[in-house]
Amino acid sequence: MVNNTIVLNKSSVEGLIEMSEVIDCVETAFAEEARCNVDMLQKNIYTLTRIVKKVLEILG
Amino acid sequence: MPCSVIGSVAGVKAVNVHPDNPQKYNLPTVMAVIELVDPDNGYPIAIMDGTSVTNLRTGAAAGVATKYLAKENADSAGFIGSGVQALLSFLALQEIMEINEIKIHNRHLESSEKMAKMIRDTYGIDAKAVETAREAVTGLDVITTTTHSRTPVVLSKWVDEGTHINAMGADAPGKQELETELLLRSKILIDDWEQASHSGEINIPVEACVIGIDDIHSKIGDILIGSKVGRSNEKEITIFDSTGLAVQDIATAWKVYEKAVKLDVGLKLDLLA
Repeated sequence: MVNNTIVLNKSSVEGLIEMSEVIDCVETAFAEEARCNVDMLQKNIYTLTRIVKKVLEILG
Repeated sequence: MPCSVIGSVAGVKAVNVHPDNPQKYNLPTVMAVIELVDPDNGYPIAIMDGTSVTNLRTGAAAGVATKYLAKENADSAGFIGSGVQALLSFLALQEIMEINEIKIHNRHLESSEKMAKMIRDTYGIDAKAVETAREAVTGLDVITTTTHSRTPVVLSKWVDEGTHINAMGADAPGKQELETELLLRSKILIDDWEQASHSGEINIPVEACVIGIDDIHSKIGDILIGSKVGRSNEKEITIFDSTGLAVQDIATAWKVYEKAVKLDVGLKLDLLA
């Protein structure tokens, strides 16, 4: 079991990954999202915000 | 921005926006930190700078969209905006297409000249800074916009048939880089409806009920997995409205983490000690 937390600053991050690899990651990310394999609370928050806004509009 | 991909990766990005930072504190406008956790037990396996990950994955999204939506023989690119995001979008485009001509427009000419010079010197590509946005749009195959504009900077009449546009700049309600008329005559792809309609390129026309969900062709992911067709002919204009998904951050950060473990890079802490 892992019992260390790795801390990486900006220069470490930029030195570890190349753009071609990032492109692969982003392609995978979009595809997994399209296959409904991703859980993102962020989307739920936008939906909730919209619902609250509508309710407030209705209530005047 | 928490996110998990079922059975594989999980993490959260904390991000903030402070527009006055560069002038007041010499700090970036947007700063982020990413925490990755073991999906099985929640142990925090990595904490890393999220600003660089955000910049990289946003540029990469322009590359992915261009790969799937630009004309087959596309070899020229225009950039409206010449900051970090424009540069990273260029790096992504350069990975997926052979670029022979680049035109860059920024309201501060010295900024676009700096980017053009870097591209000429480093990549040997014919890159020019141009004084008007129109020059960085008309006659070019792939356009990438990375401004924070609240009024359209690309007019419909400037855009040729067959162009692909990466609209990367709009990231908050009230921002819009492309004229609504251009959106209406184009095939629009998004990364996510909730985000795009809230704060992406389409947010203003959606709020005005000029564009609705039925006007959106599909999510970019649907093209990637083959459930929808992307470009269907050489004449249509395609637009990718990028807002940025948490899964892009976490997938990229996970790759960084894997490489850090493999190469033994980074400071190691036992947070439970």
